[in-house]
Amino acid sequence: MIYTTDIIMVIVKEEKGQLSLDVLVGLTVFMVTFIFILQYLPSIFVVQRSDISLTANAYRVAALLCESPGYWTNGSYNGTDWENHWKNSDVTVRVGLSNGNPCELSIQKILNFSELYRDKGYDYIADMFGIKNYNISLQFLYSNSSYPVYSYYNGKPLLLIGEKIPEYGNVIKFERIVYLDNASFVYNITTSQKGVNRTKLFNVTNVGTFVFVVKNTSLWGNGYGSWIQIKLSRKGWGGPKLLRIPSSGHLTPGIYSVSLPSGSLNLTIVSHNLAGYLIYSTAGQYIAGRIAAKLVVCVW
Amino acid sequence: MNEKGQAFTLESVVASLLLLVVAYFLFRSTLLIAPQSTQVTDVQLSQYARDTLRLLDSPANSDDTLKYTLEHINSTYSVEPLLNAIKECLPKDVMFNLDVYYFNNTTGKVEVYEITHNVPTSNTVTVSRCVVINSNEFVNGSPFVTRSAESSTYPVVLEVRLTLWRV
Repeated sequence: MIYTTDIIMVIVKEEKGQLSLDVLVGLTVFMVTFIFILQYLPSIFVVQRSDISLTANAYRVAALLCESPGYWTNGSYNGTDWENHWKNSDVTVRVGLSNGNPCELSIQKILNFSELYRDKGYDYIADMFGIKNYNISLQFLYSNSSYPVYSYYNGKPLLLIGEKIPEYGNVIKFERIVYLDNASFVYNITTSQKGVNRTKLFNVTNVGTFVFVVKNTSLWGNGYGSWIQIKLSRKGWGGPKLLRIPSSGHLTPGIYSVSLPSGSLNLTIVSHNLAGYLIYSTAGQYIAGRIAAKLVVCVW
Repeated sequence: MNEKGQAFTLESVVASLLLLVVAYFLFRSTLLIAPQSTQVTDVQLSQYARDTLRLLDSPANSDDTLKYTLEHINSTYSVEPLLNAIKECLPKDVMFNLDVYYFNNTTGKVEVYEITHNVPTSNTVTVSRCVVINSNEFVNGSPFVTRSAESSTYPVVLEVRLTLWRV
């Protein structure tokens, strides 16, 4: 016989539609592992941050400008003296500033690069180097982003092209130390007669390098030794003595660098009883017998 | 005891383990390495060093050139002009060490002449440049002329190493 209580007990123990604890635990373990893998997997592949790829662009542009003399072609002829051919309509150029020696830049190529930029425009240079936004300049070695000091030549910035560097966003700067050929002017300051000084007048409007190279002193044996005086005036010539080299006593052969205040100045340079010359440049600093500056390439 | 549902837990554990093992092997076998930002600053530092040595390796007869300094180094010579020139080339937040490696004919070994003795950080960049000078151009007492009984001149090869680091 079948009793009612037996049937009721069977109905009460039916488990359709219920979620067991085992399923929940298993699901949790699997989901935690799956989410961990999802977060971890992308990091093992190359993730190129935009500023890292920009650095490659800045490096490439700086290397092409500093180490290559450039290239031009019209399909039939080619060469590296692109500065003489870029104005021709059928010529394609790739700019390089080296005069043949890596990091020794030619003033003529630099001046032509500036003129090319003014003539052909911003986008032409961007397409040439495969970049989008840029600022390329030549600066003094002690120049920095907060206080840039640009190289000058004949009263104008030697190389300053591109847009103004933005104050925000990813901007990458790459610098190369270079030296410039024919970027300085040399003046003879050798005194010719006993007791007679040699005077040189200078007008300077930009930051410049003044280097006195003294080869020989006490030429005429008059007992007063040798010296150099620099007189400074904002108007006219002469003016109060700014500097005496040496400050006291007698001058000995050597190289003497002078720092001057900024602004438009009239300098009167008086040399006494010595043989030597003055090197003057507004393009860079005098280091190891060369006029050194730095090429700064900024891209964003 | 009802054992329904035990297989769910076991399946999920096995599936998780499988995922982890595959990810582990994938990570170990990958050849793609994400570039680090420190490598970028190292490139700029090494370029500063290379360009500085190239600038100072000048033929000018000036006391701040590499050749002039190496020719005149002895126990009394001051290398300040060369060191000042290097400081002018580098940014203010970059320190350096300058060493010269040369072959000592007496001992038969490559030895080092340390021009500076600064203590570097753990992250440095070193660049070297070779300078060749005739033995008769060195001053008396030069540490780089090591062939004592040599009447004829011979080329002396010096490796100048410039180590840079940011402070």
